[in-house]
Amino acid sequence: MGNCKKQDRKRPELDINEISKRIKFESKQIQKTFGDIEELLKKSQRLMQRLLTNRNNRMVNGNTFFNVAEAPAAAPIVPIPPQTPEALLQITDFQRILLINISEQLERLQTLRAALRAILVSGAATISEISEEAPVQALIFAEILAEDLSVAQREIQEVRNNLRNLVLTLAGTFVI
Amino acid sequence: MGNCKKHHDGDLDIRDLIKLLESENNQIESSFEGIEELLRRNEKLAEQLLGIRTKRGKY
Repeated sequence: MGNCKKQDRKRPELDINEISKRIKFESKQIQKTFGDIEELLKKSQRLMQRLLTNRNNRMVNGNTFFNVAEAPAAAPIVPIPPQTPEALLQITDFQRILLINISEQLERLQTLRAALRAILVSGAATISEISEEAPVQALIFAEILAEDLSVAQREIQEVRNNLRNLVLTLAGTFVI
Repeated sequence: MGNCKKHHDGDLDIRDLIKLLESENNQIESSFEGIEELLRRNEKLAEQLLGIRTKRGKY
């Protein structure tokens, strides 16, 4: 598995069928992982919306609290200690760190998507360009593309795993 | 390079490989479409919550 990338010297199986199989396999894995990521993004969207709603509610309640408190004959219905409006606006530091990390994974995903496009689209164009003159080189290049695809595939899985951990942890910060 | 014998007598030829790359790209693109909008919404929500722009990697 891990040591099959250094076969470049000998290339015992520089075989177009093998290369095709490998490309198909990596592509299927990528599509499957994108499916997992889709579910995780739905979950993280829900959590973030909830965070935003909680924050907004706290703002509204906070304002009512201040208004009520300022009203002349208001009943003392204030069991919660008074908070500054700034404090009411904030999410916890931990949630903040999680959100920053989630954002980083989202960016990474965009980058990987661009990389996939480059591998497959420019790759196909390059192979087509050189295959007439140098079919063997075209095949060697195709093998490199398959390896690139497999590296991208593993990175996408890593993003999925990171997202999964981050989203689960974020969900754990809601204690109601 | 004498041992690179298979590229013409295999089941597939280089043209099939090119087609394969293109069709896998299309499949990957369409599987990514499902997350495209979610990605945007997630980014936007994170921005709102963090109070900063995260798009260009500025933290």
